[in-house]
Amino acid sequence: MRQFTKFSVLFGICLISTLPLRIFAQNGIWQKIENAGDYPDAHIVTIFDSTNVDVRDSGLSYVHFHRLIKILSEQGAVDKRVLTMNYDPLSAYVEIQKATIYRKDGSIEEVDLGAVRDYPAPARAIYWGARQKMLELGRLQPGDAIEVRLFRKGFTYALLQQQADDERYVPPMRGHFYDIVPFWTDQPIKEKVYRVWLPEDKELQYQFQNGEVMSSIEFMGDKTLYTFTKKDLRPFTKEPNMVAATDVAPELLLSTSPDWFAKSRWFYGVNEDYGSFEVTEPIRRKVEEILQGADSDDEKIYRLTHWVADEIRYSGLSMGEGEGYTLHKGSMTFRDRCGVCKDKAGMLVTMLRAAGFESYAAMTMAGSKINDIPADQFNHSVTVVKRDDGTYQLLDPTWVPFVRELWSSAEQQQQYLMGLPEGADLKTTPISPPEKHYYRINGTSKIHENGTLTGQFELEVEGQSDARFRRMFVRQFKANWDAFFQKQLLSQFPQMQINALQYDDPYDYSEPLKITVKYRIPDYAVITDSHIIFTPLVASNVFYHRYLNDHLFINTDLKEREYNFRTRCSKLIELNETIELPDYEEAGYIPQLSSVSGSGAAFEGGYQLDGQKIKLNQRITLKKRIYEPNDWPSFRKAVVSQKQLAKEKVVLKR
Amino acid sequence: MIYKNTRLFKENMTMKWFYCLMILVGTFASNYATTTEKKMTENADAVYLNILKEYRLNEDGSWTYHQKHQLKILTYYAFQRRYGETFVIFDTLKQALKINKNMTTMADGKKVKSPDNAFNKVLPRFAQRSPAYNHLREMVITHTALEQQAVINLDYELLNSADFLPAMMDDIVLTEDAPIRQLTVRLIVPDGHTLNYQLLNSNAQAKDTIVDGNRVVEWQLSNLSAHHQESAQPPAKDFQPRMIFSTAAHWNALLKPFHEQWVQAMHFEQPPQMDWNGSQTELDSILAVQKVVVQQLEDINVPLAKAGFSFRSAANVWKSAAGTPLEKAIVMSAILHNAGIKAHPVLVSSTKMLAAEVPDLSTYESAQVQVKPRSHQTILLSVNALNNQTMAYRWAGYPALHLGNDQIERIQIEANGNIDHGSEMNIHLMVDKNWDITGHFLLHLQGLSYPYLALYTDRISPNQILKDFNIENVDIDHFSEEKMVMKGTISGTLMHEPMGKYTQSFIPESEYGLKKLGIPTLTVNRNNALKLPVSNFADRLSMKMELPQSVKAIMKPVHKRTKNAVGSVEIEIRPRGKSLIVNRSFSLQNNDVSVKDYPSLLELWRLWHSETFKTLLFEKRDR
Repeated sequence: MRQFTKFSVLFGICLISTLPLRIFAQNGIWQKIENAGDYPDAHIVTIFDSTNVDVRDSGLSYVHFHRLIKILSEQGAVDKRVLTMNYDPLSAYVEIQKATIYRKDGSIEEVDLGAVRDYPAPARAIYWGARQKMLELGRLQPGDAIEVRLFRKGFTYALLQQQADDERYVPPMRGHFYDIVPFWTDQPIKEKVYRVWLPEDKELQYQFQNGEVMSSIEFMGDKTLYTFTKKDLRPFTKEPNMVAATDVAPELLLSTSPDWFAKSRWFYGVNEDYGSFEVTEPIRRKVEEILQGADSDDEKIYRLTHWVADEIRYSGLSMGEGEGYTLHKGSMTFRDRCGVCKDKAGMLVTMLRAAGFESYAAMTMAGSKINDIPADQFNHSVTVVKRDDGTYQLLDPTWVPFVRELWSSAEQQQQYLMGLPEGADLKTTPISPPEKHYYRINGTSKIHENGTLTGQFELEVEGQSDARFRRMFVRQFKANWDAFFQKQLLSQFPQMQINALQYDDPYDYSEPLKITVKYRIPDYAVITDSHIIFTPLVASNVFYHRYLNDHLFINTDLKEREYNFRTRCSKLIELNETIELPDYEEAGYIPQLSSVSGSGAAFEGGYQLDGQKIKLNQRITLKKRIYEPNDWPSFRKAVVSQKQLAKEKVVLKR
Repeated sequence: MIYKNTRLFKENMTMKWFYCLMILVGTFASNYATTTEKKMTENADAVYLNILKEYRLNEDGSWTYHQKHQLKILTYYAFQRRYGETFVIFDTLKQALKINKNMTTMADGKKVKSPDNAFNKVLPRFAQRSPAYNHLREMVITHTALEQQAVINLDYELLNSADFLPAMMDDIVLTEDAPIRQLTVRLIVPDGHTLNYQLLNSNAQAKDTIVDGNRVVEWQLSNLSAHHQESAQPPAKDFQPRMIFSTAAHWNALLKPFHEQWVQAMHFEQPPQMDWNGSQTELDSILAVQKVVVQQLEDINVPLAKAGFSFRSAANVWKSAAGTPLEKAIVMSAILHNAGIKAHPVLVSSTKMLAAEVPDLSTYESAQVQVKPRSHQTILLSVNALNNQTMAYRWAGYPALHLGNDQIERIQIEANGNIDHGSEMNIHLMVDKNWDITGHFLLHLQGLSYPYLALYTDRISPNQILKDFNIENVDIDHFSEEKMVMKGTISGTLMHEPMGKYTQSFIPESEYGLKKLGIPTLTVNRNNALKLPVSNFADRLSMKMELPQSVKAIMKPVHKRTKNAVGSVEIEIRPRGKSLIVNRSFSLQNNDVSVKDYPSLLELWRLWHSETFKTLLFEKRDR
């Protein structure tokens, strides 16, 4: 009876997975294609997108995809001329099962599946053997439609030993199933259906966020069928500098994992069982060498974190069996002196343990938020170390090479899950105070009677502001260092004669980075018999570079925002300059701006005319990394104020 | 005896002097070597201790490229970001890669052989989305155990079947982005076999010997400085040590089979049906075909040499809707041929410096289409993007292979006549008491910076040529392939940046003047020459602005004029009665700016871009 029920369910899945075609066959698929509708700005329209997932007791899933897509533009025809599927052969199997082209002229072409190519995917930095399957559909034209059937079994990550049959495709948390299904799109979809058949004894938690979906549950023998349907999906409209679309767009999350604690314990166990953190003699000797003379826990943690950050380069070689969530053994990473984030995290755990600390690995999601449903929403791995007071300190050896931090504040307001023996809940990293990431320019200058400006300024940066500047050095050839900074200055002040450009060794990050510039700029100020007109140099966006001062490139034209937005890090900007002036009678126009203070940002400062000198003092505080829409007014005003002082001129009457 | 003693004394003294001299010479040589070494590596992130590049032709026509090197890592950048992997691209059907050694000697002398998982074959990114080139692979050789002062030891051979290339040939720049202490280049062919070669931009002498029945030609180059790419520099092939060689007996031996392949490829059994509606002239048809090729055939950017100088037929490319630049050029030529329009692919070299007596296809890299419409001069078109203007201006004087019906010819790209390039604009504006502006303009555009084809096909409107104001009533006085004269009316405001009773406004600039020449932000010093797309370029503006009584320009009258070896800049801003007169002109004579002349270009560039001379300042007075 049980066998029969299984067969029935399987048959049901097959039946349902072919259902749209059958219906279309009856009603006339051509009619559906012709009636797909007008979407003037779209390149394609997906008439239906159907996914059917059959989950086995082991957690292994069989996934059938069935899609009908109509080509609407030449661009759409080019985009769809090949069909590709990515997969990791250690954990997944994929198959292109059918591809049919419905030509605009009424003809139908079945694409020869013998032409499917299976090959190693292009790769950089991570070489884990990822593969692709590709089928060329060839020349398509607007009005044509393609119907494809694809199949995948397995999991996204490889963790288990290679074994016969389907065993290798069983997910790492054996018996558990999870999925994240986007219900948002950049091209219109008329109907999207996701169905999952789960063994009746598995409890599914699911959440549909940022929108609505039609859902149903049916009990079919020893399986439960969950169906999620949404019609008329329109392209998701993004706002500039918004958070990841996945944070705010409609998405379905499903998981059978009971809670984060279970996930945490599993992550702890999988690495301990593998022996990821075993301390070998060469590692022990290296740790002793690194810690020679270190007399505090802080100093030991600092040295070990930075040794791993700087000496273990980011490059992923496959460990074969177990690649995925399993951290490479410390001995492998130490021998190769390379690894990806998880391997660097594992190396640090190993070294901290060798130094007598209690340390574990953790998982996080860089770039987007983790929703509170225990699905695998992770793309990055880090380290935690237990301090004497019982708290865990986060360390990220992947994000702090040549950074004066142990945990990158570019990862503030980010969720993480520690892999602890007792389990842990999902946590969020705190906001890092802007003062820890100051960007300070102090300058003195003199305007001469002929309009020439002479002077100097010193830039001092700390925290993530320091990291941004330091990367401009340590991520390019030494031979290009001076040229890079010359370009920054000359793009803003083409006439600048740089008399000195000084900086400390950027590879030595024991102190905040300082850059000193001494300069002379002919014809900088406009000086006539009646006026002196100029913008102080330090106010003029000295380093106007998208990476160094990303906030200046945020589109401030938007009056309000619908979604959360982000910068790279909280930041305090202090701009100070004292300018010695030629003789003048009175102020003609001195730019003045109101102070700004709000939940997102603050701005204060301006000019003070003091006899033969004018002083600029500006202070802009960008309070966080991830902002809410109601933070936008103050953030926008603060940034606009800085930009305004950069372009307005001081006018003095003579 | 005395004589003898004296002689002995003298001999002793001579020997002492000799030893002293030897010590001095030795010390000097040692210091010199140390200084040279120090100078060579002081700004380096790594240094090649030695490199061997050996090409060996076998009797059966197959050949082997053998590379062996030792690279010493000096900085974190070197091992974290630059030299951690070596990438070798090869054709799995016609080449075989053999890695003899991949080992790192760590700073303490420990030798670490790379593990088996350090060798990963992937698909080269440029071969994505193309089954036709799916047999290409990129071997990623990861160097493990890297740290500062470690030495990478790599030794590999690439075995080429006899039919991969029509001859053993290459055109390679010998410098790297790290200095090289010792470089050996070796060419080996069976004795009696043709070998043409030329070493350019280097004085190194070849050693030509016969060893075991093979002719061995070898060069030793020492202490080569690192070469770092700078923006807008000429191709490294123009000035860096470079080796060109070929075992082809003569050009025809290469070009004949290439021509046969091309003739086959051009044959289109069922040429695509083009919609010629709207094509009133041949140029309309040509540009319509270019649009189809650019927009309907995906770019597969496999370099010609990596494809073994082979390509698919026009029919196959059309069917797959994707092609390499040469394949797309063939499709475009074939469609135009079928329409009765003369069109031919051309393969253009990025360098004018050729070794004419060395038959080598590797030098010709980019594929375009040369076409002669009736009533127009010959134009050169891209297959990857819609052109604003013929590319002949950009590539004038460059060597190319012209794939003709009867043969493949070596030609030079020619531009239409010897014209000047640039923009000249005359503007007359009137400002009223509300700071509002009305007026008219006359604009001349010519040569490279003139978007003739874009205007011809209405891809851009005349309004986009001058963005600072509202443009209306546009009238085109003259519209030919070489130049255009356009006039129209202007409206706008002076209140671009109001500051109390003051305002600042930027002097208008043609969008197709200097802005389109692509001069990058210049640095104070430069190691390499700078190359611009054209010579004889000028951007000129002449503007008269009539001001009401209530508005006064408050700039200091200026007249700056600089003329030097590269060109000239003149900037004049002066009041004349109630008017303000603005004249700005920038001209360049030559597109090749040597390192010696670079300060002259910098001088012009600085003056031209000075904000003080691009900004107009006004004060509103109570009248």
